[in-house]
Amino acid sequence: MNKLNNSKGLNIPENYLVTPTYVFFLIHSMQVGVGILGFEKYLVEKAGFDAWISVLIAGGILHIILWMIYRLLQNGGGDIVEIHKNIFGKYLGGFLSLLFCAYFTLLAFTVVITFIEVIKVWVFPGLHVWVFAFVLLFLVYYLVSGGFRVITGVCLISVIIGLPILLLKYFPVEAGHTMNIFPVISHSVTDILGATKQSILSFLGLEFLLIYYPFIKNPQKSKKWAHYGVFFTTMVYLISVLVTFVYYSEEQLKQVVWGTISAWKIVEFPFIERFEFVGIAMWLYVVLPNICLGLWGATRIPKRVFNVKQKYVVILFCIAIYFPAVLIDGRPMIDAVNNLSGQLGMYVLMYIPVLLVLKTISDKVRKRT
Amino acid sequence: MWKWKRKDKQQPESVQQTKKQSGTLSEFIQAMKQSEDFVHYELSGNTRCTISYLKTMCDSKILNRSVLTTLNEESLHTLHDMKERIPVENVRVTSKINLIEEKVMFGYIMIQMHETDEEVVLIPSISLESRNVSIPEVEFSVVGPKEAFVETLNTNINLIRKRLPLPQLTIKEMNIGKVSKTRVCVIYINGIVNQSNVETVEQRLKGIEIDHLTDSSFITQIIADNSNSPFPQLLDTERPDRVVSNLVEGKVAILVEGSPHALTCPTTVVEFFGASDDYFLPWHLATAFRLIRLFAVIFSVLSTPLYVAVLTYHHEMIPAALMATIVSSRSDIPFPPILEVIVLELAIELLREAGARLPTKIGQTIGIVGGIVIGTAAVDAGLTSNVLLIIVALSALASFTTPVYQIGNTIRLIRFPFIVGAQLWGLVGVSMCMVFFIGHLIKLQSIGRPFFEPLYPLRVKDLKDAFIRLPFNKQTERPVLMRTEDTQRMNPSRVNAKRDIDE
Amino acid sequence: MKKHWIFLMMVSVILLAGCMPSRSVEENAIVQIVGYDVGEEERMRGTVSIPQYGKSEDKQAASELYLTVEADSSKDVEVEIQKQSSKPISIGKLAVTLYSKEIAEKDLADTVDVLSRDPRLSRNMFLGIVDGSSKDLIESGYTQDETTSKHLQGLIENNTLHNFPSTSLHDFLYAYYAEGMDPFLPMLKKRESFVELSGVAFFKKGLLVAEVPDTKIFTFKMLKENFVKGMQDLPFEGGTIMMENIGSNVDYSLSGPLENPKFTIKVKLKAEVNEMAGIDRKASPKLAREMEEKFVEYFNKEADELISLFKEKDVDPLGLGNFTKTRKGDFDLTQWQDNYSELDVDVQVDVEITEYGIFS
Repeated sequence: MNKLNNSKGLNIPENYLVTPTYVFFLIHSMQVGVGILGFEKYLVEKAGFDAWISVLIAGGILHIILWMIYRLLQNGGGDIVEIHKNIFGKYLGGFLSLLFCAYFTLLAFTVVITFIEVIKVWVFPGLHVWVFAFVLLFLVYYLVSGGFRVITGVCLISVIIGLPILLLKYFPVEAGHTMNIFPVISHSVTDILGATKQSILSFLGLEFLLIYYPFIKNPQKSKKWAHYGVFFTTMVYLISVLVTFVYYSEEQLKQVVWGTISAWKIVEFPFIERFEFVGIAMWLYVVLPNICLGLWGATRIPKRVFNVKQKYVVILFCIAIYFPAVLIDGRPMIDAVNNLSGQLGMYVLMYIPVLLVLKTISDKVRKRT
Repeated sequence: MWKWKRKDKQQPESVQQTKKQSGTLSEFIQAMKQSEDFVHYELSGNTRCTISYLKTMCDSKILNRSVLTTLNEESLHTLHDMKERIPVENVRVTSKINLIEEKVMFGYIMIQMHETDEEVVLIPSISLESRNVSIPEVEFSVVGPKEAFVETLNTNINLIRKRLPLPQLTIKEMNIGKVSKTRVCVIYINGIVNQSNVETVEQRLKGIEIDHLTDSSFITQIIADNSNSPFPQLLDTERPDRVVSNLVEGKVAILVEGSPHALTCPTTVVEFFGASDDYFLPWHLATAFRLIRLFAVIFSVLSTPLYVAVLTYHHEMIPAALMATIVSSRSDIPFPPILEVIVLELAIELLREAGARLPTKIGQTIGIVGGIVIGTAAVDAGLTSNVLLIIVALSALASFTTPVYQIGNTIRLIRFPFIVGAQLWGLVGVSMCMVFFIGHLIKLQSIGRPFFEPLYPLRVKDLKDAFIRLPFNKQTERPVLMRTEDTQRMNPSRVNAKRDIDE
Repeated sequence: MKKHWIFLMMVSVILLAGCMPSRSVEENAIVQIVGYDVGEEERMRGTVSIPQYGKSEDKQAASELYLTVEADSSKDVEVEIQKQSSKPISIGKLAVTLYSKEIAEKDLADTVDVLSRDPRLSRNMFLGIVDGSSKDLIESGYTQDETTSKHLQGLIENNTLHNFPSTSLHDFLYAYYAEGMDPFLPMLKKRESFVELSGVAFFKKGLLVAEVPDTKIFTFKMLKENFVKGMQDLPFEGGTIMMENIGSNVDYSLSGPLENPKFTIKVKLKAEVNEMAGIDRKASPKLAREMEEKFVEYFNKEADELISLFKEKDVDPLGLGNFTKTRKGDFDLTQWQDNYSELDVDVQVDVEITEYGIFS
């Protein structure tokens, strides 16, 4: 009976599905966002130059969580909403799903305000945020209204455009002090684990799989690509961390809020100097999938729970993001929002194993009856 | 606006009503007699009959040599006798008023035994006045075939058929346009093409509501998946060889009577940047030229916006060595960069428009005079900087490198939103504009197939002939985009058979 | 219809309101060099030069506008200069910042802090210490076709390719903030009609504590980093030999416990001998061997002198502490600083002369 319901609830026409390969891009582009421009500082504050170990550990943990997510979804009959409904029933399940919706919205919101902050600090100190945020959200709405396939496309383009930016890491390495990289562990396990937590925060984003899973054609085959995606992200973060460690001294890095942007400053070509302007402009491509997928995921949950038109929900959420984004100002507030969304993300990641256990139990109970 | 659309919908019904009024043959003849070129008289030789035709549409040779001589020499009493005796192909006897009307209008001779008879014999004697097949002017290539389509549909089909002597080459014909009844052909190769593509095209063509169809570009605009997009979603070409190679890839072609351009679909955005020259050159050279062309397009779109962005907001980006050059060239200009750029861009567009409307020789002169004289004068007068003049001239030049004219127009215009974006938020604004266009391209479809194809959905196989062109032996498969029924172009194992030394 | 109107309205509002207040390049006074001196009454005196770009014909001749103000802090200098300028000051292209020796001896910490925070500045900017007044140095034009900033920038950059170790704002900040590492800066001195790089200034945090003359720069760079160019003249048997470096490698190694570490700095130097002035011997492999020995002796002596100077002044421009920190997990900064003056550093120079006596 339940199974019948499932297939009815989530019958997505084939022309809206994406092939398993794109899971790589979806996962990777969602994990890389504004965070990567300045996450090194937080790692170094915790574990100094040993933080590269934390990045690796965090990568490993995420692989495990990804495996759990797949276990959850494999016979969950669709997405997180369906799973919640099956385990907790209609009302409690719906409520939990809405919590996810709030979390996704907060994630998108965090990215929006952090990106605006970057632009205000580095490019236009006198930016009219209300106009900029409006255009940015209009752009996001335009993309989200194209549906999941368009968002996947944006993810793909963002990864393709982001790759050349990675090559710029060469300049700081050339100018840096390579002898800083020496595998001596001088920090305690707790320090390293603290930094691991910090790096998991910048790795957030793969939990969106819980909501776009039904949009994948042959989802079983996508497992491999999802793991590649997480692995690639870990590598990108590891490279970033190592490059920053080579370029900055440990105490200097604690002063620098946006390590990667500062490092872009030294990129010089005969026709162009001060690459950070280009870098920040290009970063829009990296940031957009975060906002788009965040908003898409957030708005899909109400559609699934209440059966309302997603189109209107998207507009509503855009407006809901717009006003706080205009009002929020200053580093402390933005830091607070970042911490909040990081904390929530941590809880979401911790919730996944719990959910997996609950689901296995409920499946067993159901089988017996 | 909506009201106007509604009127448009009502119109065809009234047209149909007027048509129904000429219900009988005599009424039709009466209507035709209003025109001076309609000939209608009774023949009183051996055969007595009534003959009517449009003298401006009929070939007088057929009429005089075959029809009239036969009718005068022999005594024929029935229409079927005439059908057998008259030495012209495809003579038919009919009483269907619709058919008669249509055929007479195209230049058939109509013969009745008596004025009042409903049954007639129709003799085709269409006079084909057409331009000779000439060399392609819009898509000129130095090597390769030098035939271009003309305005006559039959000639155009002939140009395609002679390159593809295949029974599977299928041509479906239909008439479009309530008033003009223009012949439109859908051409494809059975067994290669995906039938759903053909169905989509036919369905969309049948759905066209228009009074008259002047050119194939009407069809591009009407059946496009998103008609508000600045990007053309059907490739239009005047080269029969290009159409043929597209057909072989499994695409569908549309030919329109009276239009020297064929349309092929589904198409992708990269196809607009490929020239037929690319296939006539060795693959590495062709690849290099393609990349140059791609770079030219990017340069054309982005150079002036970047100029505005960098000079207005990000002058830290200018290297110290360039600084002196740029600042001294700008030092006496009274306008901000944005105004300077817009004025100069518009001036170039002006020259281009003026040049395009004038006869070739004067047009060239206008281009040179305008470019050189106005340009130098503007710099001397201190209205524009010479750095910008170079950039604008180069970007105008670069926009001409696109082999397909339609996309050239798009590129000319899409740089203006970029310039506005650059003035708004510098490089971030340019990048926002770019995101919008990329998003738009991802959303676009050509006959239901993704328009941004080898990039998204990412299909590595199709990338072999997108930004680069690999040698022919690497392209053993047809593009994935068309979902062809027969995916193999040739036998890959035979193509890539490895030979040892001295074998 | 309504939709279209709303859309049009929005677009025009965005266009009208969205535009940033902007000034194109030529409307800015682009400051490329700034110098700080000690002013009167505890204030500082800032001097900037603003290049004046004329109309295209006389692009070659560079003219500059010099502005000097008295201000309370380096940030205040910008404000004060704004008062004297007809165009808004833009410091984004700042290429050289000079401090007079006096001001550096007082403490640079405040200004350094400002430099490290301002996102408009380039990290490739050069810092320099002026032996004398930085105002005089900036205000005397040196060449006809270059601005002062370009000249000084070129001067420092050229020297970093040769005898001077690589330096920039970033390098300075790196060492300034790092534990167990102290920054250094080039020292400039104005002669009658030209300016020269006269030595290296060593800092303890923001405080200038030591300097060495230009003859010792080569040895310092040799100890500091790998490099391929540079020349040094050496005394040999009463004459002078000009030696050209064609590749030197430096390698630090650390042995012993953390309480009593022992550093070994191995330098491998490949060199060519270009000129022998006042030496009356024929070039031969034997002579080369002798030279090598003499050079090793010379460099060892020089290096030991340098290191004992560092120990004496308690500065660590070589970053030995930083190196120890990356190698030893339980590094303790205070302990390191206490032990620094008794640190055992062994410099082993190995010179190989590859070419000599080739006449071209």
